Amino acid sequence: MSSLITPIDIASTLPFIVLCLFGMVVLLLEVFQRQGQSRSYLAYVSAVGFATAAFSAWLLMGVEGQLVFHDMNYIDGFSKVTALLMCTAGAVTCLIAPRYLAELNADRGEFYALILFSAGGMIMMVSAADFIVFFMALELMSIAVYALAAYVRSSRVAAEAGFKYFLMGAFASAIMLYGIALVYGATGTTNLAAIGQLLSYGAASGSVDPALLLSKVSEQGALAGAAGYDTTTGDLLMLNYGSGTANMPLLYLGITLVIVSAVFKVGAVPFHMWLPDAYSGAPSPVGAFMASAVKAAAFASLLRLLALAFFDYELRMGPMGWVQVTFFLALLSMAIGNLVAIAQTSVKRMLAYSSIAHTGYMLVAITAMGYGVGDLDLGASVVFYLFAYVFGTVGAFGILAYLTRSRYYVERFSDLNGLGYRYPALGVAMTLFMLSSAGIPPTAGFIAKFQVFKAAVIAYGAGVEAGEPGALLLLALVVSGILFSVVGVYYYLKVIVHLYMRDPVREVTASDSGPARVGISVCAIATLVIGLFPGPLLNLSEQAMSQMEGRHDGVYVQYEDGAPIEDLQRLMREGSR
Amino acid sequence: MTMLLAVLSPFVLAFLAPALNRVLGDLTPWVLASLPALLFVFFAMMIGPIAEGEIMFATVSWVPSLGVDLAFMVDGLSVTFALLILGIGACVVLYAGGYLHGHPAIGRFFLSLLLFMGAMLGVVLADNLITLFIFWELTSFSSFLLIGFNHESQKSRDAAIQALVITGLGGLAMLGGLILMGRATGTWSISEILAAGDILRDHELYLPIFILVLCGAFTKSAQFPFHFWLPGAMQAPTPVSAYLHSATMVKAGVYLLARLNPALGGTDLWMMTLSIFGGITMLVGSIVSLMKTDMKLVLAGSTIMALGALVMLIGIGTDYALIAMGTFLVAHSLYKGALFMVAGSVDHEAGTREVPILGGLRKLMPITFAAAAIACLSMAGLPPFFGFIGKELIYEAVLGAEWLAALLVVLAVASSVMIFAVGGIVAVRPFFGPEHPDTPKHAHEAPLLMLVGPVLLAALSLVFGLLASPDGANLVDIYLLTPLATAIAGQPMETNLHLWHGFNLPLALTGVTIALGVLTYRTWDRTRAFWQALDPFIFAGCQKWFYEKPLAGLFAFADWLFRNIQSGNLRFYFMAIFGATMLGLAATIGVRMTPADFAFDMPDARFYEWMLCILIVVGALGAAQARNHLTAIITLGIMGYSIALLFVAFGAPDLAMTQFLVETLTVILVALVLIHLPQRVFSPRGISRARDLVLSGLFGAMMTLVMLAALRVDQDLFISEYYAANSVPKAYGTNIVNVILVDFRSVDTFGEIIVLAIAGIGVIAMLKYRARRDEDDDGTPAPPPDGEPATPPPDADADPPEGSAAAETTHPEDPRDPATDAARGEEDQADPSDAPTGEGDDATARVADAKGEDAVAESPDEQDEAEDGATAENTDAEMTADAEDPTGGTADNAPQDEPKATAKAEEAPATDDATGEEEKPS
Repeated sequence: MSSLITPIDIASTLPFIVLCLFGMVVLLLEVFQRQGQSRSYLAYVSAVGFATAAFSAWLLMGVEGQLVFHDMNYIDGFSKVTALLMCTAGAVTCLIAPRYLAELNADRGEFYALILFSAGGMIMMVSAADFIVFFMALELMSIAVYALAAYVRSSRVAAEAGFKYFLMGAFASAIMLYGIALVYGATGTTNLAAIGQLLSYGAASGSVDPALLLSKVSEQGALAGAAGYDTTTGDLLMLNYGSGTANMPLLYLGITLVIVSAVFKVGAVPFHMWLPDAYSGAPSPVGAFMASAVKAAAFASLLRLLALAFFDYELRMGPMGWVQVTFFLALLSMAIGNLVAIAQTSVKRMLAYSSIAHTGYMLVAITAMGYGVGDLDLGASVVFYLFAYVFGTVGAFGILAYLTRSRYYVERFSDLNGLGYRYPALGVAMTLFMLSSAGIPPTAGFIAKFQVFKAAVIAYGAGVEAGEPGALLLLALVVSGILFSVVGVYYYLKVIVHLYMRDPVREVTASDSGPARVGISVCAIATLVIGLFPGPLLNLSEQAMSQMEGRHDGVYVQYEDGAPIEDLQRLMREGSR
Repeated sequence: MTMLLAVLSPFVLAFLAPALNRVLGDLTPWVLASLPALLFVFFAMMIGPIAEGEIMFATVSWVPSLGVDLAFMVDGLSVTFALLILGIGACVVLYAGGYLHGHPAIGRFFLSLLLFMGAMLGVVLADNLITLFIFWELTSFSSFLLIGFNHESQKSRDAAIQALVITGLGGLAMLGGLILMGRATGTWSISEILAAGDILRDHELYLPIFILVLCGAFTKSAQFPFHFWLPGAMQAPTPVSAYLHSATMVKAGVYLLARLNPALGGTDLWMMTLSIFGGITMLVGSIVSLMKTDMKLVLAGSTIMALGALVMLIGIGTDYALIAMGTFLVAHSLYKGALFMVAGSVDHEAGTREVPILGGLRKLMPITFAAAAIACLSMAGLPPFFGFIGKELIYEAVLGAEWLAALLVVLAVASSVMIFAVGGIVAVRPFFGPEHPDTPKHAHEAPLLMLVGPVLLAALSLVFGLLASPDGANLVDIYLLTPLATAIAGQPMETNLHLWHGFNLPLALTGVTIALGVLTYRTWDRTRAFWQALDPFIFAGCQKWFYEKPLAGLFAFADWLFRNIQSGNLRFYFMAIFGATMLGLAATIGVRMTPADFAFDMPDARFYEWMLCILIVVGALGAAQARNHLTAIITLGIMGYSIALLFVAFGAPDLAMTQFLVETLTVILVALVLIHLPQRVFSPRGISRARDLVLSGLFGAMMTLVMLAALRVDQDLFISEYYAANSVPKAYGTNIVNVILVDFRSVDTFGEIIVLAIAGIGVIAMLKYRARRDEDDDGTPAPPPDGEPATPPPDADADPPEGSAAAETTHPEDPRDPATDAARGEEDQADPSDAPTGEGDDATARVADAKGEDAVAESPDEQDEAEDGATAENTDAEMTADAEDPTGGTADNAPQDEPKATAKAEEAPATDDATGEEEKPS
């Protein structure tokens, strides 16, 4: 037996470890805190924690992608890039929070610890190679955020938001867990890549023709195999091999439940119900965190799940394949998110609905990614979109937090009236965030939307060449996406109109918090710079996808004499503790 | 690089403008206008080479991975537009300096204006589809700022939003078209796409590309039925109208069509659509101009007419038409820019733009009048002005049209007649006759700044006309029209503009036009009511049906959606989510499964098992029927305990134990919470009750199906076999339970011990905190002072269960250390327990307890058996029922591992309770 934990295991989880350590440090500092003393410095400590974690992720860039921790985690381009994303969101959240919390009399250290732990969970979740790790990390993330949502205990709205979020989140977790149990029951493994391979198992060796593979898969059942429990070596493949097609239906049921739950977490219509209440009820910094980091983590892990475990052709493109599902979810999310956002009078709620709309746009890219022969590289547009979206969203929520004084929540559109003149820098920043969210050049959001729609068009082209059915629907999706983003322009513009073209209804005085200014400026500058020079970030997001370890890629593992090749065996073995 | 600088310099200057304005004061317009003037010279110097057939390119790499470069191309078409933009731009900057003199926000105005200038320049020079789109959107956005400049007025805000919504919508649609075009041709470079026209025209995506690009061009260039935004945009300050809404922005759509003509043009679809829409727009625009009385609105109408004419000419697509288009483009920009500025001057000096209350300004504003007169003569199409040549060419073009020539001729003549009248309305009415008594102000000649522009532009109308008069290749031909027409056609063209074409049909039509035009003008006051009666059909109607109604409908729909979807009602949320989940499951079952996939066969159950099942059902029904909380809890309890008993019956005592504990704890927790809840249970009635019943029934059925599917799965391998086989050879231990805990899962065990230790510390901290708080007796959640071992969780004081757990574990004498010690003790015991002695069992059993696996009850027996050496049987005992039943294959892996997963996930919340449970015995 190899040694229990190798140095590379530790090194590769460094961002996670750093965040957890900092979380504990923050808690400890809180213990030694004098009553009545400001906790702002904890925000800086946490921001430093995020910076350190991001830095460690950056240092790891050179490390080759591989499985670590007994095949439980990956360290790869994807996990590193998304870790950067989550650390950025977390750090900015920490910067905008202290003054807001002080204004609301809620200046307590747990806040930062919860943010740190939650971000740790996200990083772990995105790098998970196994459902068990995945689920634990998911819960680590979620439970901390449930608490954060209800963080301002004195506020009824926040309490309600937190409670609703918790109840529905718990439901989703239960569904996820049930799904994982069913998948495990059907395949005998919780390893994501192994599940992906097993789904396509039974494919004839030497052929990657999807149509042929499709027929083979359905004939033989994915799990017909020969390997199993080897009495001489004691090695065991935790794989329900002998049952032919019998396990497939159960596997599909399990996958359905897992996907339902994952889609719930990203907040796609019709699983979006919790989202507006949670985002708008939670304190603005928490709203920022939920809308940015949590959403990004949910999407990144969805990408990971789909790419590793659920990229089988039949599962994607078969009857009721997930491409059809994401197609409708994307359409619904864009429609409902954008339309309902117009009806809002609260900026926070508008941002919440717009975040649903953004989910829709990203689902367009995911649909494109899964369409036809499947091109995982198209997922890079989602990664890029997440970056653009995170900066725009955190910044916008940050500005709301920045403007909030004790008892004077700044949430309605009319609260922003005329602020563009009173606080010119703030006005410019907010304008940038809104333009970016609306997808208007030269901001990051434009390139992001462009990438997403381009992905769909590329998938359409590939689909036409391969003679896939319904390729035109993808184009229809693009066109409707564009139309709905026009609707989006309307309500984003409303913010700008209020900032510059309306007379103030009541006096709003900004809290004038230094760190918040830093955080907001970082977002604003990033929004503009990414919009003007998207090259490096585009490369980074492409890298994230291309260097994703264990991705299934629609290319089927070849089998010799009915026995899975070495790679699959390695995945199975020993992972089966 | 110079080109890049040239394009980007307006942006730089834009952001400097407010500061410059503060420093320079009245000099600002002159300084700012010098940039477009300089750039004008810069581009004018390119005319020479371009006339010789050269096309200039400049590319700066921007986003190579997207294939998006800051690529610029200067050919006949783009240089013409660039010169118009810069030349008129310089005039407008000066004019605005006079018009807005002393306005507090003039700095902001210049900022937006220069921003727009840069963007517009970018649009016409871009050689990359995406760059083009970016600049295109920038023009929309900066025009939004300019139209809404007087943001105090609701009207101008609405107009700004309307213009932005319409052009933005079109712009985004166009983006779709551009992406498809890039996809179809495999390049983003416009010059390459122009060369790939044949591929594009035969491409299957031609239709969507065509429609989407047209959406962009038509909205921007105010083509019917989107023309209504242009008169609305007249809310903008007049310099803006003169610039954006006559010469530049509205022509962006025309530019796009002309630019893409070599790539997309030439098809029947292109010809038909463009010439019909252009023709209609032309007519509608001229009618609009006759029904308005505000000088700017009159001019806006005539601008719509001109835009329609240009689009129609591109559609006709013959050589004549393209040359006519080029000529008319330049002629119109010159006279219309001048006329808008005149209208602004009149407004500025006389205080109104309402034609009926103006008169006799000729003597008061002689220079302005001269400019207006010249521009109007050009607009009316009289020789020797440039407009005349333009109009003659239009007549020739429509006469030579391949499609619908007769209709187009009628449309062209009709609108020319009306435009002739418009010339009278804006240049004769206000200036001749007696001074009108209702004019608000006594007018004076406009200041110098406001004269430069109109005079210059008007003069150019005459100069161009004269220059183009001689037959044969004149200057205008060589340097303007030939390169322009060549670029539009995409192939070399020869042009020969001249004033005198001989006595031909166009000249006759001109005669008719003049005669009817004079008539129309003379009867304008009387016929205006007639024109206005057409308003609902051609203007207000379009606005209503293409903008207001859809927008209102959208809002109403959004509101409806919001009220119905986001009711804030948790029940509804859950209904939706349950519903959607069920839908997913049902679809999966429907598509992927057959009845054979479910284990429908009647289970071979014993009597008491049936009884338990019935109890469960009764419990569930009772809970659903319960009218108060207590009943609900009790009935739920019945259900839970029955399930636990079922576990016992199936030989899974560990699971049963966990279930008992969870059930008990739940009842206690709920009971504690209940104290704070109202007694009445919400119970729906009638339809909603039935709906709930159906929903929960369906969900139950679905879950049952899932379970039956799970039962159908064959399980050939048991994890127990693995442990049995490997316990001795790999771990050198004969007690399987011990081996599992300390070897196979040593890390888990280790981690759980740590968790227990931490939880212990937490409990102590909580106890101390509570004790202290009792002393202090203040309810604030203040943290304990320094030096305390740990802080409680944030909600410690509000959360009864934790309090009660803590109360149970109280050690009165020494509340500080024992838990920690106990935990440490366990750790100490656990470590040496690599050797499978009996001593470690207590600790490990307890650990298992915390895990939720609960081996307590079994471990002594199993240990005995293990010592007997009956390892394999031992694990079988753990797995009991299933091992006896070869086919039944109940998912014993699942029950075995499921609680493990949950336990892990819920470690954090669970440990506190577990600690409570555990510490009692110690």
